[in-house]
Amino acid sequence: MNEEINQNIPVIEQGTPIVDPTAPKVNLMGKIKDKLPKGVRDFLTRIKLPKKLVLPLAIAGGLILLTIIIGLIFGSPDIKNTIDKSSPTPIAQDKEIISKDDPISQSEARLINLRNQINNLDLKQSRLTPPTLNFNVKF
Amino acid sequence: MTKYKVFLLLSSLIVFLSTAYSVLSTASAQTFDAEKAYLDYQFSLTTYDKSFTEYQDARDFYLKSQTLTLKEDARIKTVKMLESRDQLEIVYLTALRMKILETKGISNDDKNRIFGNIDSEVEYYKKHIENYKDDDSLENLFNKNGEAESRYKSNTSPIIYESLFLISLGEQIGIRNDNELEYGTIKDFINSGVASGKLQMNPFNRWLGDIDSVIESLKKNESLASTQIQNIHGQFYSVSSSYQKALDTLTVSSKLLTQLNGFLIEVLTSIKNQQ
Repeated sequence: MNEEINQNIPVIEQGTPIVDPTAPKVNLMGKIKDKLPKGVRDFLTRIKLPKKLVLPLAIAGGLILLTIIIGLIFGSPDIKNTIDKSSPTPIAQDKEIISKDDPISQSEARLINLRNQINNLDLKQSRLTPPTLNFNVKF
Repeated sequence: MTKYKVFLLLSSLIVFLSTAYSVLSTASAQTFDAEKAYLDYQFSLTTYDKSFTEYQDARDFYLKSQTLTLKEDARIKTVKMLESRDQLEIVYLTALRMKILETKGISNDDKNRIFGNIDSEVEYYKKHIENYKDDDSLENLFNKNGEAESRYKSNTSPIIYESLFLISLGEQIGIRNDNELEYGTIKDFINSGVASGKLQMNPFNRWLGDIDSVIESLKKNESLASTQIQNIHGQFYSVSSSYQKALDTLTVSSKLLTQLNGFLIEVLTSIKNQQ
């Protein structure tokens, strides 16, 4: 009797995954859909989208997402970041400074910074030179 | 079909997010400051230069071959050039205004006074630009050009050069103030060092006197330059000579600033060596 029962039970080899052929297939989209609120699910059920449009829409969406991610990673930094990432200031480069914690050295660093500002003064304000205008308009 | 609908939902969400992101980025990029005003000025300058070249070409073509068609083309190009010139004045004056606004050494009184002058000029050009009509005759355009020229020479030009002077003066005063702030800190170092017996007052007492003299000279120079620039609005001096004279005084101030800064660093070095 026991032998008959054993014959009906399939032999499972060690290391082989157990697959139940009667189990329903795992559907990721279905799972996501199940987790959506009822109102959204009803809305999705009502939508009839032509199959041809789905793939281009999905690709477009993916590209936009990719653009955002690339923009966030490699995009131009804002002003604050620019300041933070700037090359070492002349203060840091100056070998005269012994310690940043020392109040005298801190004062010296600020003075060296001011020295650089004095050297960079442009009294003529070259950037804002008035435009050359021609008023000789007659013919 | 269900998975396609989920795709649709996700795509819509992504489009929404990207739109929101781009709108927010644009909004933050449009903060109007001196740098943005300067870029606007550069753009307007390019536009004016282009329209002036087009005007010159059209005028030359007409003068070579005086046909009605070429005259009409020259007239159209003249209107465009004159409009872009007024627009350039507006944008340039705005760039000066923004730079003055952001220069910390300029007093509020000076800022308000020059802003009043700049604003009245901007207002003039805004009204003047509206006077140009598409069907203006060449004679009308020449008259309107004369109005703009007269305004520029009598009012706008002195205000422009006074603004440029104020920016430089403000930058110098800002740096002098910052140096004076450090000077106060240095005096505290000396006083506490002398009190604790780590420092001797000699030679600092004499050095501080020299530094005070330099600061005094700087303040006198600032005052002198401010008086000199006011001649720009008078009848006895030209705009360029008044501006140059005031600028020469500021050049002397730059040397004094370098001296003041050097003295302060020297005092600090001496304090460090004695401690």
